Amino acid sequence: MTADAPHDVDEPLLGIAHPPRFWTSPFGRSFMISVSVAVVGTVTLLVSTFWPTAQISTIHGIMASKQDFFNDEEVQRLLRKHEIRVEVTARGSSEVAFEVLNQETQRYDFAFPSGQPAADLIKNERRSRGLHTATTRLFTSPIVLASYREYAETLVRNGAADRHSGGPGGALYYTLDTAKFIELGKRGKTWNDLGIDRYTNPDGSSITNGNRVLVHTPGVCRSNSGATYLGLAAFVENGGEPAQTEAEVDRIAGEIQPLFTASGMPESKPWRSYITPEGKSQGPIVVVYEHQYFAYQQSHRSRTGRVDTGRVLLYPKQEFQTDPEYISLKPGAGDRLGTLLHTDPELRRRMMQLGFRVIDDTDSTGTRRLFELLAGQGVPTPDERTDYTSAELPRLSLLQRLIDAVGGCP
Amino acid sequence: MRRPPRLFIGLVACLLLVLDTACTSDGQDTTLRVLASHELADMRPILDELRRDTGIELVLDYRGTVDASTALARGDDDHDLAWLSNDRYLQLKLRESGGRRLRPLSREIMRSPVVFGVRPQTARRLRHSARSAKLSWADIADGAAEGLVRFGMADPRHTESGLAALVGVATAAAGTGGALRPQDLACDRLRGLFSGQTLTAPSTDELVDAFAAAEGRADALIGYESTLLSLNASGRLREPLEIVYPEDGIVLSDYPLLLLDPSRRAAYDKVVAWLARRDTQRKIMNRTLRRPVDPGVRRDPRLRTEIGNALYFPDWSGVIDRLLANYDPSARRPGQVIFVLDYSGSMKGARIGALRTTFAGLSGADGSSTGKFVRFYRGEKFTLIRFGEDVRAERDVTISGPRDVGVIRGFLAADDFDHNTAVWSALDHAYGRAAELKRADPGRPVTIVLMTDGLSNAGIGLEEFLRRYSALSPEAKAVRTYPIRLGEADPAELDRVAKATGGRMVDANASSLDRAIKETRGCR
Repeated sequence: MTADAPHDVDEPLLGIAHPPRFWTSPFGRSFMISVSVAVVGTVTLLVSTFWPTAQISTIHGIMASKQDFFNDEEVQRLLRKHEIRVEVTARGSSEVAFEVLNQETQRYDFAFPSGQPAADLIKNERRSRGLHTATTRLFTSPIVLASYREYAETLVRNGAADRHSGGPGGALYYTLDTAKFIELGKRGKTWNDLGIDRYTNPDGSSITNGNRVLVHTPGVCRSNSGATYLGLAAFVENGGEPAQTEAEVDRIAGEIQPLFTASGMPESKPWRSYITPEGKSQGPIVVVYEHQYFAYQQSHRSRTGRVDTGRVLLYPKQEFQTDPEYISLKPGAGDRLGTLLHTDPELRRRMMQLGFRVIDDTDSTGTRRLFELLAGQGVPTPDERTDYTSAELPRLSLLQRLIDAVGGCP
Repeated sequence: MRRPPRLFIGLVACLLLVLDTACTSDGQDTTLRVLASHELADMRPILDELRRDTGIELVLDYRGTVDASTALARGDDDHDLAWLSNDRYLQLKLRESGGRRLRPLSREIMRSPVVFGVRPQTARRLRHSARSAKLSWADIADGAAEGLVRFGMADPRHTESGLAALVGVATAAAGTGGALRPQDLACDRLRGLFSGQTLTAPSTDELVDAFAAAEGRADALIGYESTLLSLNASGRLREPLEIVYPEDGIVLSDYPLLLLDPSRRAAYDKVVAWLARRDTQRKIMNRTLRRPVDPGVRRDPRLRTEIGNALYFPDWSGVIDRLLANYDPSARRPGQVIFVLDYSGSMKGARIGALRTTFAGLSGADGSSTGKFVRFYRGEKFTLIRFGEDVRAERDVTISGPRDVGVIRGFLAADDFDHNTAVWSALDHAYGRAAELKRADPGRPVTIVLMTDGLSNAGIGLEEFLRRYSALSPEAKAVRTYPIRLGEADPAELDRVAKATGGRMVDANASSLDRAIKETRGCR
C-alpha cells in the first residue's frame, strides 16, 4: 500500500511470521482445555470477531500509507489486548491534512500523515486555532523506488545505477544516480532506447517497452510519497540544494514539470500493483517507502523460504527519510493510543517487523536494529552508505508552491 | 479423533445464530444501492454469496461507465456506492469541476486489461503482414488500413472498454512514450485503424452479442480480456478468439468500489473486506476471468503473465474530449486529400527521391509504428497534382488495393521538371477542385497538402491567390491548406496561407520530408 490508497480494509499479504501467542494468554489456555483441535479454527474466528466486541473501544484514525501498520493482523491483535480497535480512513497525506482541518465535527481521534509537510500543516493550523494537538514520532522510513531486476540492471548498464553486493542475479538493492536518471527522463529516453530488450520474459521473448523512463507516483498533489519524490527531484535539479526563493522554485518547476506531466494520471495504488504479477506491466518503477518493501520480502521469505529476487529496490543517492508523525486530535482516546504505540514493547517490535526504522534513545534512526532483524529473518540488507548525502525539502510554503506548479493541483 | 463436547457444539451454534442475526437484522444496513458499470452484471452470482455470508445485498443499477462518471462528477446521483470499471474518467471530471472536493473512498477489487481478440486465421494474416510473431496496435492499424482485419469496439463515449481502448491506441499512435498531450491530437492518426471498424454498440454486452450473432461482420473485438475470455468459454463462437496483448501498450482497469454516502461506511467496509478475501478473489477469477488484486491467488492459465506495458494515461480531460470528438463516427467518412506537389527543377534528385519514398511508405512500405498508423487506408481518396510553371498533371485515386498504389507510384515517377514555380496558381487550381468536390459531396472532408521547395516565380502572386480564396464559397473556404516547406521555400508566405485557411505550416527542413508529410496525415 502506498500513500494514496484511498481505502484498505485488510492486507492479507503481510503475513509475517510471529509466535502464535494466543494460546499463552490466560483465556486461550483455559479455552484449550475444553475444546478439541478440530474446531479451533472456528472458535478462534468467533472469539476474535464476536467475543471481545463487548469491551473494545473503537478509535478513529485518518492516514495514508501508514495504514499498513494498523491493517496488520498482528497489530490488531496486540491492540485488542489493550481493548482497542482502530478504524482507518485512508487518504493521501495532503488529503489527510485537508480533511482534518476542514472536518465539521471531530470525527477523528488521530491523524497519521506519512510525512512532515502534512503533519506541520495540521499542527500549525490546529495550534493557532487552540485545538488539542499532541504528537509522537514512532519511526522513519526513507523514500525509495521499487523496481524489477531487468529494469534495475538496465539502469546499471546505462550508468544510472550501482548494484549493491549480491551479483546481477541476486542483489536486492541498487543506488540510483538520481541526476542521471532524471536526465534520461528529460531527454525522452524510452526503455527500448536503453536496451531493455537484452532481457527476456519467462516465455523467452524479448522484453520491449516503449514507455519513457519515468516513475509512477501516487500523485504530487495528494500523496506524501509523490510530493517527496518531487522535492527530491527538485533538490537534485537545483544542484543539491533546496530551493530558497519563489523565483528558484518557479525555475525548477518549469524544468521538471514535463517529467511529471508525461507520466500522466497518478497511479493511486502503485505499491499494491507492484506486488502483483501484473505490476511490472503497470509500472516498472514506482515510488514507495522502504518499509513496504522490507515487510514484503519478510513475508515472501516466510511463505516461500526465499526472498523475491525479481523485485528490487533503488535507493536514491540523496537519501530522504520520511518522518510520519502520530498526531492525537483528542485528549482521551487519541492520546492513549499515542502513548501506547510509543511505549508498548510488543507493538514497537512489530513496527520493526513491518520494516519501519523505529526511533529510540540509543539508535535514533533505528536503522541498525532494523537491519539486524532483517538479517535474522534471512532478508539481505542494503550495503552501508558510503557517500552519505541527505536531501532536504524547501520550506513548507515553497514546497507547496512547487507542488502546485508541477501538479496543477486543484 | 475425539468428538467435540456437546456443550461446545451448542455454544458454537448459538454464537453463529447470534452473529447471523446481528448481521442481517440491522434493517437499513443490509441493502446498498450501487451505480455500476454494465460489465459488472457478471458479478451477480458472487454478490448472492456476499449476501449469504454478510447479510448485505448490493442492488446494482447498470450504466455505461462514462455516463455514470459524468453523473457522479455533477454530484446529482444518490446511490450509496459506485462500482466502475475504472475511475479515471471520473477523476478527470472531478478535477475539471474544480474545488478541493475529496475523492470518495475507493478500493480496487480486480483487474483486466483492454486487449485485442481476433480469429486465429486473421491473426496469422496480420502476423504474416507484420513479419513479426508479436502484434502491436500499429500492426493492427496497418492491417485495418489494408483491409486485412475488421473489428468491433464499444462506443468510447459511453463505455469504459471503448474509452480505454481509444486512449490506448491514440497513445500508441502518438508514439512519444509519454501520456497523450493536446498537440499529439492536432490531427487524427487513427483514421486508418478505424477504417477497419465494422461493429460498435453502446455497451460491451451488446457488442459481444452483435459479434456472436453475426460472425461474418467482424473478425476481431477490442475489449476487456475478461470479456473476450468469457466469450471464448461460452461456446457461442465457432472458434475461440486468440487474445493479443499489443506490444506497444495496454490499459488496465481495476474496478474500484467507491463509497458515495459516508453514512454507509460500516456496510461498505464489510463488503470490501469480503471482496478482498482470498477465497472471494479466487471465485471472481474463476467466474469472470478478471485478474485478482490479491497476488496470493494462483492465476488461471488463461490469464497470461506477459501482458505488455500499461501506457501512461493522460491527466487532462481536454485530451479525452478531443479524442472523443475525433472519434465521432458520423464525421468518420474517408477524407479526400489534394496533394499539390512542386515538380520544378530544384526538386530533381534527392528531393524527388525523398518524396517518392515517403509516398511508398504511406502506401504500406513504412515499417515504423507511426508509419503504420498514418498510412493510406482503404476508401481514402486522393487528388494528386504536379505543378511547375503551371499545373502539369492531375490524377484522382481511391485506395482499394495494390493497383491504386501502383497508380500513385506511376504518377510520381514522372520526370517532367519545369524551370519555373507557379506555387499560388497551383494552389488556386487546387481550391477550384476542392470547391467542385464540396459541391458534389458536401459531407466529405477535403484537405490540401501543398509541398514546395522554392519561391513562386510564375503565375499569380500570393495576394491574388488570397483575394480569390476569399471569394470562394464558405464550403470551399473551409478546406484547409497544410503547406510543407522544403529547401528554399519562403516560410513566412507559406505560414500566411496556412493561417488564412485554418491549416498549419510544417517545416520539412526542421525534420524531413517524410516526417513532415506524416505530420499532416489525419489533419482536417
